[in-house]
Amino acid sequence: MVPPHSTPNARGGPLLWASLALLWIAVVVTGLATLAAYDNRPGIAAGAPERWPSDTALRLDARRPTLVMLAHPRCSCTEASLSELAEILARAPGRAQVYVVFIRPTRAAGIADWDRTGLRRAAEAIPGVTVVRDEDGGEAARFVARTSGQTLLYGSDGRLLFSGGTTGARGHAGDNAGRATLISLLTEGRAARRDTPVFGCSLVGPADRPLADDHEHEHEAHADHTR
Amino acid sequence: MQITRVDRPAAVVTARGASIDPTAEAIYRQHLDVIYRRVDRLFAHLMMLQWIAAIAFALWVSPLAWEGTTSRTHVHVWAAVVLGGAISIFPVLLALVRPGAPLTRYTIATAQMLMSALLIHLTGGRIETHFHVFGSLAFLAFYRDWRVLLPATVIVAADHALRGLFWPQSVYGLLTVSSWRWLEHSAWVLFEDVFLVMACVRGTDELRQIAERTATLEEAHRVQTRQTMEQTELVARLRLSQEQVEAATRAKSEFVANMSHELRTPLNAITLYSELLQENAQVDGRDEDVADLAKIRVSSKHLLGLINGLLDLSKIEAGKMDLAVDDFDVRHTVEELIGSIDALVRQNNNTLSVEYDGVLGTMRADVTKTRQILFNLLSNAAKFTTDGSIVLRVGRRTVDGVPSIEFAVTDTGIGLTDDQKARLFRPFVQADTSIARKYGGTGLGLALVSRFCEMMGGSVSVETPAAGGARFVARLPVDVEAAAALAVPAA
Repeated sequence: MVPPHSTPNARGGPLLWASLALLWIAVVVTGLATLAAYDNRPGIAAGAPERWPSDTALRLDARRPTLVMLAHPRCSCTEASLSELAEILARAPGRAQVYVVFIRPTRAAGIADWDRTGLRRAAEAIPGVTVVRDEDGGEAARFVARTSGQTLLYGSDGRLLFSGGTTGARGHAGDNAGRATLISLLTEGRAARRDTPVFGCSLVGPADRPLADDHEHEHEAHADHTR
Repeated sequence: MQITRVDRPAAVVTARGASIDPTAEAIYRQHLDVIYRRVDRLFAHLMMLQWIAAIAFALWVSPLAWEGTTSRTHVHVWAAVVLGGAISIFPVLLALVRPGAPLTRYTIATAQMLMSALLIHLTGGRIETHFHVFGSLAFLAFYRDWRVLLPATVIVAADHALRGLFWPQSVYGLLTVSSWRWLEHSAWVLFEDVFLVMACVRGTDELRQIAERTATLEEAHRVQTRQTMEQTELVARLRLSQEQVEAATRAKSEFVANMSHELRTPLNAITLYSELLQENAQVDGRDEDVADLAKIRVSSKHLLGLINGLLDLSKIEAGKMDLAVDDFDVRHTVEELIGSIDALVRQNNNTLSVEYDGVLGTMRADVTKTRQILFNLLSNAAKFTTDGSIVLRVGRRTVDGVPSIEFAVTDTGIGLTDDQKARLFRPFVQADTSIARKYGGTGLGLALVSRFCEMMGGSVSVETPAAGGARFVARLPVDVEAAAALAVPAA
């Protein structure tokens, strides 16, 4: 014998549950939108000098462009920046002298393993990349970089060609304008733009010594790097 | 054969226009409800697992956000905990409180796609995480309700459309893209949806077919059960009727037996006294009285014979007739009988001859009833034969493996039709009423022959030879008791 068709337990009216469902979806969509807004909010862009800084320890390559990425060794978002850098170098192999500069603020000087992280190992694993430790954030200050993942491309003549990030959002790998611009500059020598937003952690925090104070006045700031 | 009419409710028309039996529709709905509830439960478990996985992933990949040497819990961890919980808990609650309800599965479908969006965020937009969208759509098809794919598809399309509108670089890698680019992404989802919708529709069609078959089987089972109950009731009623009839028959037979006994006593007196008076009248020379007294004697003897037959029949039907089994010589018994019946045979100017097939030996049976069988058969032949011949042939035969004595009485009398033969051995029935008027008799003689033969494990039959007349054959076991012992296991 077939029992009568069972109906769902009616705990609360359907209208109540439908209202709760609408409220729920509003809350969740708002949360996701907030998260998306956070992920897509760029960090402070570099006021990178228009000419290669004379006091940097890094060497400007006279035959090809020199690419400098300044990174926080513990920023999880920068992993995507490095993977995008690897992608760029794979698409334009040997077209640039590449430095990945990992900052070590003064406060971290006493911590031996501060920059011995998976991120640094990932950078070292990219062919053609020279990994540099930036004691006390001196290089970051010279290049006026504030956000991890900040990438600068200088021509062989020392002129700034590009300043920006290599990801489309915070920690978000995949096609993006920074990658496309850098590949275009390295392979074709020209690009439609020369800056993109940077997504990543701050290279220095409130407890650290400000980077730009000593050098900001020494170089001509590149004003329009941010959107 | 009794035909049971079963009233079934009228067919209903489904949303797809198909006519379906209400019982089948109920079974179909029940199956769907079971599926909805089961998949709700599965998704409830999956939601909780996804939530835990999202938290674990966020803690593993991006536990902290840094500002120089200062760290704090990464926003992704909070998103996994708070937003992941918000996405998961409400549909899980619905699955527990309102399992099987449409709102529950539509909410689950929506939540699953929102969870995809969250996971894609947490994994930094890895292409591999996008498989969560396609896997979830396939999982949603477990509901076999293609409508749940609608909110899921809308969520995916809206997610891409809004991100494309506000943050195009995060989705397409470009800062400026066509506002219709989201359609390309949605088209791939729709591509999968097409197959999933087909699978859902086919699944529900199969469910409906199964429901219809189940309903048919249940209906057949109901009909069979009802018929069985009706047949059982019928058998019980028949048994009751049979018992009532048997009781009535026994009562009637007892009554007839008693009455016959009561009638026989005065009738014997009438017969004896009429014989005595007839002898006295002959001595006194009163010829007129002799003739009248002879009529009284003949009539009373006839009446006595009738009552004796009736008494025997009643005893048999009342189960009070017993066999007196004894050994006797067959030929001697036959010859004794021939001597006593000779006058009766010659009444209609007939001749009687007896033939023996080989050595007959002895029988172990009721000699009185055997003699009665022979007497009735011969007197029957004599009654319906005029100026003819009667032949009694006696011999040993084996009938169905039982050694038997066969008594065959052949006459050249009026013969029998097939219809008459069919009714011949029933009590009080003669070949037809005209025969009764012409030849007299009670119609009990052959009925008693048949009953006596049956009592002794034998049989009687009649046939009409082509040359005319009739041939009655009675077969009796040589040893009645041995034949009865053989017959019991077979019964």
